[in-house]
Amino acid sequence: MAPDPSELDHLVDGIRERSEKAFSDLHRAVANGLMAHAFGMLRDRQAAEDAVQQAFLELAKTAPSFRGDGRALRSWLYRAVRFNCLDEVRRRKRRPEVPTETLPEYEAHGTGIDMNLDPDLEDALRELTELQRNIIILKHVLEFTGDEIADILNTNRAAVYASAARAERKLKKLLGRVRSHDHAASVWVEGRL
Amino acid sequence: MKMDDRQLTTRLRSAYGVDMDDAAQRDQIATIASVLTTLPPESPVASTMLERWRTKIVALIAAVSLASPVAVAVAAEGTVPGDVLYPVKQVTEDFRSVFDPTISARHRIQEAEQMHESGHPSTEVDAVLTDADNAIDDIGDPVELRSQWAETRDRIMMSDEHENTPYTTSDDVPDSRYESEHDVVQPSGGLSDNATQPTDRYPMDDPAPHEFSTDESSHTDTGTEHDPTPTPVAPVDGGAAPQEDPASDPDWNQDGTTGSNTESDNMSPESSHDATTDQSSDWTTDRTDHDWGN
Repeated sequence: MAPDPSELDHLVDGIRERSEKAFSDLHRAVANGLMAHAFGMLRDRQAAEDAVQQAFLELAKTAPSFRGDGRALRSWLYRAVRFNCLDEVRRRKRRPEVPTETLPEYEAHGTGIDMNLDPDLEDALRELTELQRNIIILKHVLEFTGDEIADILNTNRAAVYASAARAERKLKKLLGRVRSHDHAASVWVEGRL
Repeated sequence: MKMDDRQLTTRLRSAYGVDMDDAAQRDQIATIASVLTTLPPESPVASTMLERWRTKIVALIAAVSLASPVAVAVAAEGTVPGDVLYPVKQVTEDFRSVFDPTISARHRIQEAEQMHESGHPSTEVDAVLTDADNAIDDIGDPVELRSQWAETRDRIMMSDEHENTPYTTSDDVPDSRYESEHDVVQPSGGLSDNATQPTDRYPMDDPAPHEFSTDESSHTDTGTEHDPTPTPVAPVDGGAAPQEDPASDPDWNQDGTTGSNTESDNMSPESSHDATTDQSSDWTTDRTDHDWGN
């Protein structure tokens, strides 16, 4: 899902020169991955899109001083999106609770929590730390390597592997327990019939 | 039932593998393009130059950071006690003494010479000489360093500026009065080479201005060498003695006579007469060679 970073190498010079075409090509190449990354943190499509947009605008401002290759550029964008998402999470915590009656009806791709989420998976992911959730999404959804994840999260590869292993073990345990419970329930129902 | 990696990945992708809508993507690209047109143009060359300068500045700071301690240590090499950088010298000396145990002793000797030449008080110079002495003792009293120390000590002690003589007895120290331009009275009754003619102060018609006592009672033949301290007495004709008031001179007794072991004790009237008439006596040279030389 994530593009090969070497494909972005030829865009770096254009990005430094603030070329409109370079920015357009870069957006088409990485926007979906950034969107998934942001959505994994916010579970909100609109908020995720805003986080991605904000990251590109920040890149436009600082592009001339950017140093590095295509991989560094991609890691820079993922880090920017992550920090924007963390800011959004903090804003949500400060924001006062709104009574349910006043909320507008959910839309398929509108504001608010996306209704297509897997509730069991959501419950299991909630048991993980924020860092573990990031690693799980980057590894399984965006197919990043351990080095790339370490680069994006500003940590080392060993820490990424350890966190990923712990998170996967926990997720499998939680999701397997749910599946066992569902299987037992279905057997019980079938027996009653 | 336990879930495997593939099942976990499939479930995560189905829940979080979201793509951005084409419409949203177009909107974002348009927004970015509009922002790019508002930003001031910035040449990448400028950033490259900034980067190049930053590298140079960092290298300069690193070089200064590394060179400063070395420069301070080198500057501290020539310091003496009381200087600002002297503690630095002591610290480096501690490290260097691991490889060269004589470093402390050699430094103290050099410091004593420097302090003496720069006019430090003799008490401070003497203290450094004492330190040098102790340092030489600490490393086993090597002959070479000991002789160097002795030469330095003698050079300092024999100079005009030095006042105290902690390493020699008062008898061994030259009296500066004998080296002054006037009133240099040799025990033999002669004048030193640099003295002016006696007629300047004592006219020729003033008989025997520098006659020494010939009183047998003051003779105490100790068998020692001549003492430079003269024993002036009143002139035969009762004229005033050419020396200063004996009471004000610590080398003189209150009664105007000297103690034992004076030059006059060993002088006969004949020798006094000879010395008085022979002003080119080489007594000073002999005396110096014998007692003060080392």
